[in-house]
Amino acid sequence: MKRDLNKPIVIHWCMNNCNKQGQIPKGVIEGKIRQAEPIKIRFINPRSQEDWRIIESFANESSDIKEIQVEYDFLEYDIKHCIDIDIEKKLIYLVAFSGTSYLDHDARNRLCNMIKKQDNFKIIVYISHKNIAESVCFIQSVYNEVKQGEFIIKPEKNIKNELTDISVLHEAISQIAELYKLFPDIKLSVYDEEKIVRDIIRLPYYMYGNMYITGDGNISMYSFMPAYNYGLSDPQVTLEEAWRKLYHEHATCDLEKILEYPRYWFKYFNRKEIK
Amino acid sequence: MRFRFTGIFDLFNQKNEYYLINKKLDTIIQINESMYKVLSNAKQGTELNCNEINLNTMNILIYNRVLEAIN
Repeated sequence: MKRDLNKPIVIHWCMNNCNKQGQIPKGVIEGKIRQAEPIKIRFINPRSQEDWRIIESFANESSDIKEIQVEYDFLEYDIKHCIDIDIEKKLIYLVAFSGTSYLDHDARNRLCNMIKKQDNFKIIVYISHKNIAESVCFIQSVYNEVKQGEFIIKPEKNIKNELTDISVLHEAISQIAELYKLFPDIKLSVYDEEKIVRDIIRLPYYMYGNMYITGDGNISMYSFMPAYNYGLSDPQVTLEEAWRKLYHEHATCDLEKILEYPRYWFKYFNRKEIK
Repeated sequence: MRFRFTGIFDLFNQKNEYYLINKKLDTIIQINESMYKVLSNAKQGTELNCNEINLNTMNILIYNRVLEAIN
C-alpha cells in the first residue's frame, strides 16, 4: 500500500466566516476545488444563496467527484428553499444540532420527514457537559418516531467543554449507552475525529489526503488542526500546491504535537481565542 | 472461514488510482488495483478466497474492520 498521495482526496470546506473582512471570494475556492478533482467534498455551514448555488453546481456536473456531503445547521434552513429537489437526492446531508436546539412542531415534522425520505440522512449532535441529558433525550424522541437515520454524537469543541474531564466524559457515555439498550438497532456512533486520527498516526497505512479549508481561505489537514495561509486567494495558487506545502511544512509536525495531548483537545489547548 | 466487507469503508476508483476511505472519518488508504478488485468483489457479496490476500494484509483488513468474519 502506498503511503504518500500527491493531492488532497477528501476536501472539507467550511463556507461561513464570522469575519467578513477576511472572507475569500467563494468563486475562487470553487474553481480550485473543481480543478483539484477530489473524490469527496463536504460543504460545511453554507450560509448564503451563493453557497447553495455552489453546492448545486457541484452536484449538477458529471465529474469524478463520487460523493458530495452537506453539513448544515438544520434550524437555519429549510433545504427545499435552498436547493432544487432533483439535486437534493444526489447529496448526503449531515444536519447539525446541539442538544439544546429547540424544535417546534413544524421543525420536528420537517426533520422526521427528511430522515424518512433520505436513505443517507445523518444527524450530528454536538455535545458538551451542559447538554448531555438533553442530547440523549433528543435522539431518543426522534429515533422513537422514525426508527431510521444515522445519529452521530461528537464533542462540541468551540466552547470550554468539560468533557475533557474523564468523569464527565464517562457520565456522558453511560447516558448515551442507555440509547443502545432502548434501541438495539439504532445506528448511533460516538466519535471524535481528533482521537481517531491521533490513534492512527503511527500506523503504516495512514495517509494525508485530507484538506480542510476555513471560511477565510486558510488550510489545514483536519478541522481540529491549526490552519495556515497559503495564499488561496491568489488565482495562480492551486489547491494541490498549497496542500503539498502544508503537508511538508506542518502536517507531520502538527500531528506529532497532537500526541503530546492526552485528551485530544489540540486546538483548545493551543488557541487562546477559543472561548 | 468466510469474510465480508463491513461497509464502514468505501472503495473509490478515480482515473485508475484506487482508494479505501473510512466513510465516517474520511481517513484514506491508497490501494493497488488487485486489492481493489478483491475488495470490490467482497463488497458485492462474493465470498472472499483467503488465498487472494496474504495473511498480514488480511490481519490489517480485519483489525481495521474493512473485513469481518462470518460465522
